[in-house]
Amino acid sequence: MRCNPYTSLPKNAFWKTGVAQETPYKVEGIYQKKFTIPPEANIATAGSCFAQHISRHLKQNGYNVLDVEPAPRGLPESRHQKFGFSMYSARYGNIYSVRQLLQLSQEVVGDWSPQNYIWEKDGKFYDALRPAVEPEGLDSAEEVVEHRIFHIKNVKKLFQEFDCLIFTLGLTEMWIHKESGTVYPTAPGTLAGVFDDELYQFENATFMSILQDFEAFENTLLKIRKNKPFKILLTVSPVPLTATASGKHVLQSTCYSKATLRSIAGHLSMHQENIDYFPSYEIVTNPKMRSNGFSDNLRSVKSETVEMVMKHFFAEHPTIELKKEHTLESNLSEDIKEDIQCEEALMEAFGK
Amino acid sequence: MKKILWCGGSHLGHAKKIIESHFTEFTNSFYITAGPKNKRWSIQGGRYFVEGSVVGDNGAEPDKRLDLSDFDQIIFIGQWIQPLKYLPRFQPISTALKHAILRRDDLFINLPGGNFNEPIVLFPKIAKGKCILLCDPWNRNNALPIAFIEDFKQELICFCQKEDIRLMFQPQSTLDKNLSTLEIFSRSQSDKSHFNTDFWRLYLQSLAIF
Repeated sequence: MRCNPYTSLPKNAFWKTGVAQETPYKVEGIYQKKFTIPPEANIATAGSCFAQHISRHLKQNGYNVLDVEPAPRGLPESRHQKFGFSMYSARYGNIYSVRQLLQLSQEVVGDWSPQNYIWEKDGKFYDALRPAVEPEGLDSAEEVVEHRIFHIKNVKKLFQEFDCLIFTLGLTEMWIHKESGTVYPTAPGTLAGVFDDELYQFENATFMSILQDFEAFENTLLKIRKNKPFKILLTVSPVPLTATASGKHVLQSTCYSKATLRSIAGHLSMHQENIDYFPSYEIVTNPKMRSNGFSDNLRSVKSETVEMVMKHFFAEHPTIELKKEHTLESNLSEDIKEDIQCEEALMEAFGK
Repeated sequence: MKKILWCGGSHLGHAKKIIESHFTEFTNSFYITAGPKNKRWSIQGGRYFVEGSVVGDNGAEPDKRLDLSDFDQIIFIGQWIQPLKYLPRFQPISTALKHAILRRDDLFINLPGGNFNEPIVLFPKIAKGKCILLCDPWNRNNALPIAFIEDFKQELICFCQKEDIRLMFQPQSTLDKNLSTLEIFSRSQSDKSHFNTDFWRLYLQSLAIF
């Protein structure tokens, strides 16, 4: 007979045995997958910078992480990141807020167009919605438009094709174009543009507004996909805010942001069958880690911490043996086709 | 009689008959220095045997050694010099990205995918002043940004000057306005990389030595 409701609970239900006495490097039972990601599933990744780590590890462990905007083959790998390649499934850079994700999907479907998104700096032009992917800017405003049209076309393909989206929630704080509501990933005047408080305003999203944005995003996805179902795996970035514009202390603002995003992830995964939550945030910020998961700046997550986080992930979603990196139009098959044609030509001409 | 060593891969294969039938006043020898076997061999770390002016033992012809000093001219046909290898499909490309791809000292030597184009630097060093390059015909697969192809050509001109290679681009008359090789020269509908004997006749005619 049970003495009380806690008597028969497993050790991970108790702080003492689940955290204080537990190794933080292998926290038993911290994540139980809600659904299986089949080896052939097309995975899309997006979100704040922590999502890059997840994306990289998934690729290394054999998952089919889509890349609809692969780097030109002639670009050395060491320079991919500088131009926003190989970080996520498309070249959208960091998507910090759910509103940003929603607007991207609305742009894809043609329901909405960003305004005031071409920013200038020192005679160069930037796509303000992803300024970091062309760090030296483009030569003209027209070029920015051309690049954006190409990007959106590819994102559409991605949104149509993925089976599971892994999205890392990053920030609640946003800079917005007052007139159109266009959300930027960076504050005007930082990477490019000029700050003008007549044009731009700060907004710190609330639980309710994020939830509405997320649900609107899901509906837009269904529209893009013609109701084809999808799965979403959410994570919350453990990386604290670099700075806050909220008027509060940055520590307080970080806690607000993370707590809000964590509860969004909790709410969605609790109420929707197709949404799971992977607790990378908890694993990194576990008090037993005593902040050792972070580098000296107490912001960047150490690479060994990321490894450790991903071990928890792969304990539930095992490594896939056959390593495949997917692009929707595979360069590999083109290569094979060309090699066959070359072999045939050599055989015909030289008998070898 | 002048002795010519013709080097390359599949494009050389397609040009071979024209070479043999049109350049009968020369002694023509052929050496497979490109193609898939050499690509795989170099990716796996394969490197040429070199002793004085003798080279050999490559992936396609592992038992073959040649004394480059025996030849009056060494002509590369193709030899993996193709902008599409660096930008496999159309995408708008910024000046900065274009420079990041093309402005590298080893651009034509360390090729994308780990292929090491050793002959293009090794042979000119051994056979000084004797090498000529006819690069791959511009592919028909994609309309690459013209600015990219033009910059690629400029880089190739600089490279060839530095390596003492005479460079011959395909005749302008074989190209369309997007700098793709004209469809009339295609070998087949499905093969966008290789071109027919008419094409090679035109290209080879432009060789100054003939």
